[in-house]
Amino acid sequence: MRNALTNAMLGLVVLLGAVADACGQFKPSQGRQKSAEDLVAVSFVSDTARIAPGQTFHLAIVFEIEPHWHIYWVSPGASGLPTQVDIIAPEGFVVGEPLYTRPQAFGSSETLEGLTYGYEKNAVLFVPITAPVDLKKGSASFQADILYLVCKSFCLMGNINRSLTLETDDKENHASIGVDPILARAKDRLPQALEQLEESKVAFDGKLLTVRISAGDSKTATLYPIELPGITYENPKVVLKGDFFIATVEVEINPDNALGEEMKLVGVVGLGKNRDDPSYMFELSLSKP
Amino acid sequence: MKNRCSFLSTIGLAALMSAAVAFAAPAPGAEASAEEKAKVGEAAPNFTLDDANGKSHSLSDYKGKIVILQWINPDCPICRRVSKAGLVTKMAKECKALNKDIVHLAINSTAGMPGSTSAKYLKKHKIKALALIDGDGKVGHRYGARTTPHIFVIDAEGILRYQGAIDDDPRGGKEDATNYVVNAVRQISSGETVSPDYVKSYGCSVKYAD
Repeated sequence: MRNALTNAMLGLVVLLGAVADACGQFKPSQGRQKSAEDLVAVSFVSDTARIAPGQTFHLAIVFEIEPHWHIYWVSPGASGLPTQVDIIAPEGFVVGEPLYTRPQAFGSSETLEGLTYGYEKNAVLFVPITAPVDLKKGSASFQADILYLVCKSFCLMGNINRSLTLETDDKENHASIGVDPILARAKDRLPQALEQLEESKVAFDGKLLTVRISAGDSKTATLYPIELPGITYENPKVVLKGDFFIATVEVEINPDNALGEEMKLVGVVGLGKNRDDPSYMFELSLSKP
Repeated sequence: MKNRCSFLSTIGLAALMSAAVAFAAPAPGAEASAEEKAKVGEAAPNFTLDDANGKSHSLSDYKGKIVILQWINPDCPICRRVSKAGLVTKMAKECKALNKDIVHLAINSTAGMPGSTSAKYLKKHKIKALALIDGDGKVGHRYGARTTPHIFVIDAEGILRYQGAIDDDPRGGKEDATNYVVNAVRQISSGETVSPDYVKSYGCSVKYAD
């Protein structure tokens, strides 16, 4: 009788726990809490084995993410934090702006939580690096300070450092770039310039941003606006008209909120549904000529 | 500034409007209807929420004072970072130095989180704010609170003057970070226009019940 009662009580506890979890009321403080490092494996690699003088190559941060968790794109959407990397390079090397691959959308625009943009399962963040023309033979060490927020029903923040040492040459070498299949595939996910597509164009009438893009064989497309200070976007839509997708989004501009930064409309249009499908970046400056 | 709540669909809005919300009288000097959403430059919607001890507090109780609303979630690592680093206490101290008539309300809209959690969290981080519980998220929805932290600054006349990020340092560790709340309080106190009046907030999503 006692055992039956104990089992019944245990069952009730398990049931209540399951209900609480299903209701999104999971308390991360209950039980052993995983760290962000447990959920996201981060590696720091390069697309070149040896650096030549004047060569531009990429350092890459590769994220392997626990199933059902996600990290964020450069413009995280309604909430979140951009995944960021700071590279410390030896003197003479020029560090470019990080390049983000096409994201995927999470959530729904139908709720206050809204849409967020990021990556599940895996992600690669590239940083272009240009070597000095007077590079000497030897080695060069790079440090990466990486910050990410990983979320599911709750969030954890990871801030880690990685280092990488590469050999350097004092003359041009023939080391191939992009031979790593993971990096090569990820590079294909980087958005291309919209201008390279014939008859594609970007227009802004002061209220509505319109992007026309050749549809090719794609049946669907998604607009991912990148929010910069002083600019807010609402109601992004994409419709197929003939051979083109017409992406529109309402824009509100407030120069007082621009924080001194250049005001421009920037975003990505992704063709198809998958993040491996092609995507194109647009940029429209709002500065007067 | 366009209210970001307009992302809500007609269905979501209808559901929200049909919910029974016990709002008290409009904010002092302001005429906000019971169903209006928070919008910079307009009257801040009044609300009544309980603290951890079950005592009710209304926005209208703070007539004539600047009110800082800060959405919090003790489980959010970004909330914890800004609290642990002393940024919130520093912000509150600087605001108080600019204007003695100031009130700091820390609202938690996390579904299912006990009220005592917020109070303990504030105490642990020495934050002298009043912890208010918005378990059903109705006040959070009305204000369009999307992240933790997400800040709203209301002037003594009950007008919402700033909403958005706490500062320009999402990553943390910036030596010359600008705190937008201190900036807004300074400008309000000296009779200036608040600028910026909106900066996109960063942080964890608010874990609403719906």
